[in-house]
Formats: sequence, C-alpha cells, structure tokens
Amino acid sequence: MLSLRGVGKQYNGTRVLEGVSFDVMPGQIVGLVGENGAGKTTLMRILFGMGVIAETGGYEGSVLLDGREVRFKSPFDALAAGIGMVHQEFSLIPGFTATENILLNRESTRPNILVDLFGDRMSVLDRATMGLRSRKAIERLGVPLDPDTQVREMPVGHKQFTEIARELDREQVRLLVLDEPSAVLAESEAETLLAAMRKLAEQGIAIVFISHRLREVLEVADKVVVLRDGRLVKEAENESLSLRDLASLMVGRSFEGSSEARRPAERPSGAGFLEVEGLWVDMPGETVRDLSFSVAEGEIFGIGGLAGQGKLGVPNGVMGLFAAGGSVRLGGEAVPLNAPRRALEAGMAFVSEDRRGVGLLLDEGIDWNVCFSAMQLRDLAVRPLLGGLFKWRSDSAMRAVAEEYVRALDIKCTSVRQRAGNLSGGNQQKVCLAKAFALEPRLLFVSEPTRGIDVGAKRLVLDEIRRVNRERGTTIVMVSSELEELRLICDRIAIVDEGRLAGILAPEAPVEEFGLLMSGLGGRAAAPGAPAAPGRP
Amino acid sequence: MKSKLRLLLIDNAVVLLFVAIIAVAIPISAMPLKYLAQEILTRLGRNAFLVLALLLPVMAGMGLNFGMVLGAMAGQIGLILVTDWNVVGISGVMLAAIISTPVALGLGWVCGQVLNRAKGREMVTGYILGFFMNGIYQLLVLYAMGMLIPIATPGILLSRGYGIRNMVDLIGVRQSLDKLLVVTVAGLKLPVATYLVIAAMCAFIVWFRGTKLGQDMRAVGQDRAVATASGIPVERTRIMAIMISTLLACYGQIIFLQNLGTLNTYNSHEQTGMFSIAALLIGGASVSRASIPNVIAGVVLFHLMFVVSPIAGKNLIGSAQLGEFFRQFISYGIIAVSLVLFSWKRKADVAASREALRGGSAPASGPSKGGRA
Amino acid sequence: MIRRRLVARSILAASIAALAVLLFVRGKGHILYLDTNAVELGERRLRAPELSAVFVDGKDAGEMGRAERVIAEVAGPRHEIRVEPLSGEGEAAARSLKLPAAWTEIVISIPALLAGEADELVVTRFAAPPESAESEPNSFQQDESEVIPLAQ
Repeated sequence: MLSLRGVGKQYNGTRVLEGVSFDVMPGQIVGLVGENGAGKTTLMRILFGMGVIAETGGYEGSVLLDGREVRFKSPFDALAAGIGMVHQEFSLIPGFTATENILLNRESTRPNILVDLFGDRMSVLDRATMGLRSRKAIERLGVPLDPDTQVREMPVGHKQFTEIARELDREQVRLLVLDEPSAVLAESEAETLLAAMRKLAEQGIAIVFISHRLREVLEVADKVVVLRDGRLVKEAENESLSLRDLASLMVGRSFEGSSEARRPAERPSGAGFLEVEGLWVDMPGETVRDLSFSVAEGEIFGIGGLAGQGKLGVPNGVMGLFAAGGSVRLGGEAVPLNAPRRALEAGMAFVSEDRRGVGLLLDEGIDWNVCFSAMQLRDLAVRPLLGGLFKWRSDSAMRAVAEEYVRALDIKCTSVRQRAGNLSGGNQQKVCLAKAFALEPRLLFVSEPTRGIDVGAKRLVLDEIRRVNRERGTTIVMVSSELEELRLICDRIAIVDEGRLAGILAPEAPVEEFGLLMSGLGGRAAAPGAPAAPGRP
Repeated sequence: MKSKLRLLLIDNAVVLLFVAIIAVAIPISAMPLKYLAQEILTRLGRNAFLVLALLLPVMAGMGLNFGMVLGAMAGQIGLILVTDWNVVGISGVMLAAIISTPVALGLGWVCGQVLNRAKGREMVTGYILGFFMNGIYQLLVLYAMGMLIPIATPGILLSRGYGIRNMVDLIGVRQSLDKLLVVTVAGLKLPVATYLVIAAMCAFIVWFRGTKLGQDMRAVGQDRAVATASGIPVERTRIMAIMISTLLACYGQIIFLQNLGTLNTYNSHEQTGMFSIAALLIGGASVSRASIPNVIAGVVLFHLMFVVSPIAGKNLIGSAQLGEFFRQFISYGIIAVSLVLFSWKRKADVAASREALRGGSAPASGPSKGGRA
Repeated sequence: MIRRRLVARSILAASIAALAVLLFVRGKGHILYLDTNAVELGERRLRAPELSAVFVDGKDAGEMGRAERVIAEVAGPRHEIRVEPLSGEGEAAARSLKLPAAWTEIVISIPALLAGEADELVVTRFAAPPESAESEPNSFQQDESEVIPLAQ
C-alpha cells in the first residue's frame, strides 16, 4: 500500500537520510527502529508532508501510495490521503472531553438560520451524534476510554488513546504512524496499547510503530525496519530477528581503532566519590525519574542513552539548573540540590551541552568567559581591597589566564579579547572547557562535549578531557549520545533509559549489550518475569 | 474533605473577601437596606450588559478586553447623532444601537487585528489601543461633528460652531429602556425591560458556547498550538471574539447612558473598561476563566462597595474622601492582584503538569522514591 | 452556497435599514409651536378666537388667546390637534396632521387650522431667528460645558 523508494534528505549539506526504501502492506504493523539522529523523525516528516521539509529543499526519492506517487504539501494533504500520525507530544485541549478532542474541528453540527446569514460556524454542535462517533472510534480501538472525561483528568495512557481515536474517527484512515506511543505509558497501559494496535491491524489499517522499546516492537510488529545514520540497515520479518540482533543493529558501528580507555586493572575503583541516590530532575524533554549511581575518584564515568531518555537531565539536575530532588554526596559530604552555587562551591563544574545558552557569555571576550566563574568562586584575577570590603578585578590577570588556556587548548582566535560569539563551534567548546578547568574542580561534568564540532577538534577535546583526568586526577562524568566516544575513553558507561538507570557496562562490552540497555532491556528487565523474548506474560 | 473545602475557599477567595468587607461596611455606613437594595437593582440593570461583553474574549484566551472602550465610544457616537436628530424614546435607543453597530464592528475588527499581532500581551495592548482610539474619537467628536458632519441642534454644539459640548443631555432617550416595563415589588422598582435584555444576552452567550464558533473559541483559548494544528482558523476566531465583545460593549454603553440620562462626551467611556473589568474580577473571574455568575456577583459586589464606602469611611474615619480612596484602592488593587495571580498560576500549572512525570508512570522495577513527598 | 448567503445578508441589511427608517420616523420628537398669530392669505386675514382650548392627541395643551405660542412635544408622524373656541366664536375643529419626519421644530398655525386650510399652510417649519437673540443664556453655560479635558 505504501512504498518508499530511495527517499533521502539533506539539511544544508548535512545528509540525514539516504536511499531508504521499504513497503508497508495493508493491515501490517511495521516497527521502525533507530537511535535519534538515525533519520526516523525526518522520514516521518517527509511522509506526513510537514512544511519544514519543503522549506529546506524538499526530499529525494518517491513516496508511493497504492502504486501512485504522492507528494504531500501539508499534513492536511496526508490526512486526506488516509495517513494519520500520532506524535510524541500530545496535541490535546486539556479542558475538553475525550469526545471533543477526538472530533476537534470536525464536530457534527446542526444548521440553523444563522448559518445562512453569518457563516458555517454559527451551526450548533450536535452532541448526541458526536458522542456516537467518538464511541465508535473508541470501540475500534478496544480500550476502556470514557468519552466524557476531561483530558486533563485522564491518566497518560488514556490521553494517548484519545489521540489515536482522533485519527481513527477520520473515515479514510488507512495508515497510522505512532511515534513512541508507549514512552510515557505504564506497563499495563502499554499492553493495552499493543492489543489495540493488533485490533486495528486486523481491521486492515497499516501501522508504522516507532519505538525504542525493542521488546514491544518484536511483540507486535510483523516486520521491522532499522535505520542507522540515515540509512536503512535492515528490513526483516519479525520471526527472523532476535532482540540482540536488533539491539546491535540499532547501535553498533564497526569499532575502528582501539579504545584508549584504561585497562580494567588500572581503572579507579573504591568508595564512591560521587554518590547519587534517587535523583529526579524536571528537565523538559530529558526527565530523570529515579536514578542512583556511584562514581569512584579519578574515574572517567560515562552516561549514555537515547535522546530524550534523561541522560542530559543528570548533570543539569545535580548542578542545580533544573528542579531536582534526591540526594547527592561528593567525597562523603552532602551537596544541596537546586543551588548551582553550592554545587560549584563543593568542587563540581559543568560544561553544558547548551554551549551558547548556558556555557558562554556570547558578547564578552574569551578572557571574560574563561575567568568569570572562577572569579566568582575562587577570586581568580581579583584583588581584595580595604581588607576584603571591595574586590577589584584585574584585567591583566584575566588576560594572562586566558592566554594560558588558549595555548594549552589551541584555541583559534584573533586575541583573548575576541568576542566569544564569533568563534567557531569547536573553539567555543574549548573556551567552555577552559572555563571549567579554571575552576580547578574535583569533579567535572561534561555534557555532549563534541557535539557540532569538526573531527579534528573532537579529538582534541577528548584528549584534553583525558589529560585533565590523568594529570590532575579530576573525576569526570561524561554524558554523550555518541556511544563511540564514550567507549573510547570511559572507564565505565551507564545507560539511562526512560529516566532510570538501565545498567552499567564496561567499555569493551559488546555493542548489542548497550543497545539492549538503551531499549529498556538487559539488566533492569531481569526483574520478575520479563525474559528478553516476545510473548511475555 | 478538608482539602476540598480549602480548595473551594482558595478558588473563591476574592469573592469571599469582598463579601466580608461589605458585610462589615454596611452596618458602619448605617444606610437603610431598602435604599441599598434599590441602588443595586438599578445599577445591575445599568452595568451588567457591559460586563457581559467581557466574557467572550476571556473564553478565547485573550484575557480581559481593555479594548471594550472602543465599543463604548461607538455607542456614544450613536447617541450623539440620535440626540441631534431628536429621535426619542425606545425608538431612539434602538436607532442609536443600529447606527453604532457598523462603527463598533469596524473598531472591533481593528482591535482584533492589533491584538492578533500582540499575542500574549493582549491586555496591555488593548489598554493602550483604547487611549489611541480616544484620540480618533475626539477628532471625530470635537472637530468633525459640526464641521464635516452636519449637526442641526445648536444646543449640543460648542459655541464656536463645531465640536460637541462636554455634557449632552440625553433627555429624549433618558430611561427609555428602563421605563418601558417597570414592576414594583415590595416597594422596590425593577426595570424589567432592561433585565429582559440582559437575560436575553445571557441566553445568547450560553447558546453561543454550543455553536461551532463557540467551541472553536474555547479551543483557541485553551491551547492555541493545538487549535492551529487541528485546522481551526485561530486568527479569525480571535478577531470574531473581539468584534462581538466590542459590539456588546457598544450596546452596553447605550444602556448605561440611557439610564444615567447624561452623556459626558469626553469622559463617560474612560472608566467603562476599568469598572467593568474590576467588577468581573471581583465576581470571582480570572483572566482565563469567566462566567455569567461572575458577572452578576461582580456587579452587585462592586457597586455595593461603590455606594457604601464613602459613607462608611465618613462614619468610621470622619472623611468620606478616605472611604472613596479605600474603595478605589481595593477595587483596582483587585485587578493588579488578579493579573499577578494569573501569571503565577500559569507557571505553577506548567510545573505541576510536569510533576506528573516525576517518580513516573513506569514499571515497578526497584523502589521508586520519587523525591519529595 | 455563497449566493445564498449573499441573498440572506442582503435581505438582513435591507430589513435593518428599513427598521432604522421606521424607528427614525416613529421616534422622531417634534417640538410643536402652537401658534395663534393672525395669518395673511392673499386678501384674507385669518384670526384665532379670543380664547381657545387646544388639545394635542387628547391632552390639554393649554388655553390660548390671540398672537400666542404654546409648546407641545410629541413623538411620531401623525397627531391630532383639536381646537375648541372658548369665547363663543366659531366651531371646534380637529385635524389629524402628518408631520414631516425631518423637521424637529414645527409651527402649527391655529387660525389656518380652524379655517380648514390645506396642510402645507397649517404645518410650517420653524426658522430660528438670527443669532443676536441667543447669546445671553449660552454664555452663562459656556464656562462649564465648554471646558474639554484634553489631558487625561
């Protein structure tokens, strides 16, 4: 019914998709698997006719519906052709009932005389018919959803069902794309969802099920498609795949070169230097629910996981940038949360993933950026006057410190007074690193250290992190979405999935182990009754 | 149960506060209850329609329509012309309404266009737009009328020959609607015709909520992004809300002025927005939620304060002026508090909705301590 | 579809316009100056009785002698004026007069009415006398109602 042939896309020279081809039959459930950045989102945007695709140069290849090529100019075109999409973020009106949301902007109405005078929208809503329609859609789905409950009072799962029911009310729907529908669901709700999907497939509706929960994908999909780095790496019938296969396909790349991590025997161990317990962080998009881990002194500890699963929330929460709770201890002493200054004073520093937003004073020079935090905390480049009543800043001292780091990190600039906002991405990152180093922290959080940096600079940044660890004994906690770079220099790597710790692995562990952890399986699922195979109880 | 009561108290804090203040002020003022009752009944008829005009923009998520003063100006233009032509009685009131209608709709459309370009800042923008329109109104009334627009009745023109006088006596239409049907109950005179008009408007608003346009407005008011995604024409819907509100404000001002009987050409409309909004908020409405009970309760409470405070102030402190200051302080302080509360509550709601994600929904693997209690 | 709406809206607009005209005519307030001044018509000179009682729409407007003017305010196009001589001259006369909607101040000539003259001679438009007569009362009012608060 739906065929993709050689679909590709690039944004401003960055290739995001290349030569993706696969088919979807009516009534078939196709699982679409891949890390973020693998191209899933872009593929769905193309399929659904999102404006951003056309605005950035369109796409290559063709999309065929019933054998005929289609090019959707807007989501409404796709809807009219029978393609419905349920996004990850709910598109619901909180104060409306399920019925009102299901029929949003497609309500049944009764005309009256005012329609002739003032237009269609003066017709009165026919609530009886609306109720019938919404009940019908809910029945198709087969879930216990009360049509008259207000959305804001529904459990999350029911909100998901309301969204799906909305797509179903469209008479002509033939293909449904579900984008990570079970991400926010509890076990039982997820089960109901899978059952509902099967029911829909029986009715002839094809489903593209995007999920990182490989177990669920294998449980319900007829066919699985794996994307990695923009290419389709596997298209196979469900029966022929195992979880391990899938996990390694999703994550693995050939591992070139040797790891530069320490050999197991040399890795620091011992009593927890950084102890995190029961951490939760309210960071939109990277929520941490309940995380506990322990880092040894002098260790390079990596934190990985798929995007949006919570790994970025860890350093942001510990350093007080977002609301957080739980307990954090450094070197045995408790560090208060929700207080960035206290975290800094305790000896922790943070190189944020949001270089431009959090990391730099874009309008100030390199000298200011490098020295600013250390100036606040350690009186770097500052002279106390009148017995400490006033603190006088020394611009020359600032410049000297900055120049030292410019040399050490090989920061390409015109002078230490150059505006940070004018530097290249790589050099900006080095300035952020320098700022953290200037604090001489005991523990350094580095978040997405090489994102958006060219290859040569990547090397340098990683080398610098390692050097600081080896030479100064600084404990490093490195958060990254690139598994390769974590495996390159970390002593241990933790994987965060859905806001919780999925497991901790050694860098030399086989790649599919990482994949399994990222998809919510492996160590954690060793809990009651959940073997890593389809058809669990 | 206890927390439910607490919730009820918090939600209606403003109304309860005002009831408490008034309950204390009335005995202090020693005013006869019958007099107060009559005042309230009269003022209800005079002001309720204006406050009703504020409901639709709140429903559409545009906050409190400070731009309703544009509608008031339109109504006044109609009344000036009708007075000049000497059309009297209920016919005069209706004719004023008819000729003001296109003016009000036009001004409402302009207001809607402006507010659409100031999303998130509608209230302040409406307020300033009111000042701007006041200038245009004065251009019309102080210059064009008599100069470009022929005014036949010299009695309402300034002695220089053009421009309307400061005070226009609306003798022709004075009390025309109110006196149309009067029922006396227990010695109290009820302007039943006016009440019927107000009731009709309430019925219209209730009916309107059940139309497609009303549903669209509700959706737009709750979440503009979702409404846009579902294909609702958000911009047009908002403009319609403002246009209807302006039109209702126009009619409301006509009702208001026919009761007073005198038009203060350059001042009557100024306080319209403030008073109506203060009344609505005192009735328990908020920037995002307002309903008909808020309107009635608000008008009653606000105007009770109006009437009672000066006398209570005089009896209590010895100065009626202080009582008046107190009234102003409380009434307008309410607007400030409401606006702050609204902003704070909106942030709290967003944070609360994210709280639902904490300690989360997922499987019982391991203890889920989830942080705070 | 659109034509239907156009037709419906045109009908609505037309009805409202018609209503407006109706309201204007029916609601128009007229100030009647009941005038008993003698009127010259060609060679004839029409005079009012020495004393008469005048009724407008059944309500007593007052007793008038000769060369007097009494004000009566009415609203609407058609009204009945009845004159009853009280001094025994001539007979009572009553007429239903149609007042032109555009005129606010109207002079009703009682003598002409009694003589049975045509409507155009009975109902005439009031013309205000030249400015000089007006200034006094207005200048008193000027102070209050002329001050326009331009600054808020």
